[in-house]
Amino acid sequence: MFGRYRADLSYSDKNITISVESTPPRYVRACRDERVEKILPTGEGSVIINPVEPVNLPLPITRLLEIAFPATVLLPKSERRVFLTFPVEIGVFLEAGGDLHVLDIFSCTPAKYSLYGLPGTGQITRWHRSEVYEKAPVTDRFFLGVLDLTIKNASAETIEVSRTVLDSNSMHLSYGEYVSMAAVMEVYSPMIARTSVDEVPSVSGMTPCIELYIARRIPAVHGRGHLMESGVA
Amino acid sequence: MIPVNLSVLSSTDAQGLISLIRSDQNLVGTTSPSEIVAFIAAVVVAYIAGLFAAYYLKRHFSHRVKKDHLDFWIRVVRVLLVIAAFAITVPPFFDAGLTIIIAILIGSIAVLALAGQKVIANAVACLALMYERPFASGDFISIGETSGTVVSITLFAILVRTVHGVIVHIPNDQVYTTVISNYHSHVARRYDFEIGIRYRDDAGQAIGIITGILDGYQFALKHPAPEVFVSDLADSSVKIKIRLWFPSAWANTQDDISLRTRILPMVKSALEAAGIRIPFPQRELWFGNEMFKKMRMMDEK
Repeated sequence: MFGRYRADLSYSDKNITISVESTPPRYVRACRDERVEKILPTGEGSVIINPVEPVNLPLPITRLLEIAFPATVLLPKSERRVFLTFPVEIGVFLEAGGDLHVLDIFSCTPAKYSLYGLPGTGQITRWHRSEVYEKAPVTDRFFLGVLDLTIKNASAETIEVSRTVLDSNSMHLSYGEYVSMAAVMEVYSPMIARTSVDEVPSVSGMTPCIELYIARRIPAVHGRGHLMESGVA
Repeated sequence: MIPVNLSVLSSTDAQGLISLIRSDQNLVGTTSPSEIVAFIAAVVVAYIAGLFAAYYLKRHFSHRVKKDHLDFWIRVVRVLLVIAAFAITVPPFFDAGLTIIIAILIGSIAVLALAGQKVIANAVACLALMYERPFASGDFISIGETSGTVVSITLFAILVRTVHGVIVHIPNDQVYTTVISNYHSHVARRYDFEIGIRYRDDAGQAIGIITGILDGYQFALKHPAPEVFVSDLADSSVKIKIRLWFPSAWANTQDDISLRTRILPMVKSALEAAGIRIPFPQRELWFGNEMFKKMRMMDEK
């Protein structure tokens, strides 16, 4: 289903039904008891379907994705590569006349919000619980993506890490057999860490996604990542 | 007294005005026509520059800065541009030293201060509110008896839209000296409610059901975790207290109506499906045996 379509598209499985018809031009999508129908403009154009930053549903009230996982112990000045899962949100774009319009965003994964930090100073996050895998797990790419996370303990003490927070404004997703994202988490102390998402996917042959901040022309903060200041465990 | 050159003022046709500007004769006092043209041109340029500055600021900062703060700074920039235009072009009008101009300015300010104490109080309160930022445009607040969403913060008053759609105009000095409750300043808020079950029902089972509902409900925050516990053994029911945190941005109202309308029906339905009932207020009366004996004895007699 992911890809660019210039002609008619029809996809259906037990969870998602998507169709793009040219006569009359119409977009219809059904997923999790929700149905969206839109009349498309006539003329040249293409529909692009790919995963987007998983922080938009059910409401765009945060730009942070928090992934909780079983505590992983890191020795001082060491690093470890782990694979986690993250929820997938699917974006549908209409590309025409040099413009990229967000037609629809949907997800098959139930959402859950959390608070990272204290109510006064913390941040609302889209929360997801994952297991820790030694290699990329097999996932249904319409439900769960795979985060290739390298955790670096830059401190001089042994630290337990059980969560990571990623900023959607610098996310880079790609898809192939599964939806992929690669990130680095540099831990400075039990309270402070910096996370950044790699621009290049960790696996070759993946197709880069069009992210929402590109479609909406929101300037992405490349290279700076997100500073976690309320703990890593 | 400033001498007015009436002969030059009578030149009404365009040709006459152009020749007047070229001749640069004094029009009012020592002010020449070219100075007046320069003044008007400077004000117009400042106004147009203000429009461009507003467009630039809105285009580049509207997604980073809150609307009322951006509007405030746009206003500041536009006023500064006009003041700069005045500062550049007005001094030549006066054939006087800087001391006299400053004295006139101070005198004018003193007169304005006396004439518009309330207006100035509101303007000063606006600056204080801008500095302290107890709320921003879009926040749901309560000020005195007024509750609603802040629409805008102006120099003299704030505009609040109540839940009934009424716009309330509250002067800034009143806002500054009144207790303000902001329901949006923290990213998360807590919602408490209590539910009563019968004494014969299993309180542990009820707690498990409610916890399960909250765990599956997307807007009940994972952390801080919801708390569900028996809070009271009341006359008619066992009280179960529920405390949960939710994102302020989602339920940006005082009465948490978004949460009530979703959580409460789900809890009621789930408890009833498990055979747990919410009892009516009730009282059981017990009559001692001695009383019945006396009543029987009286009947027998």
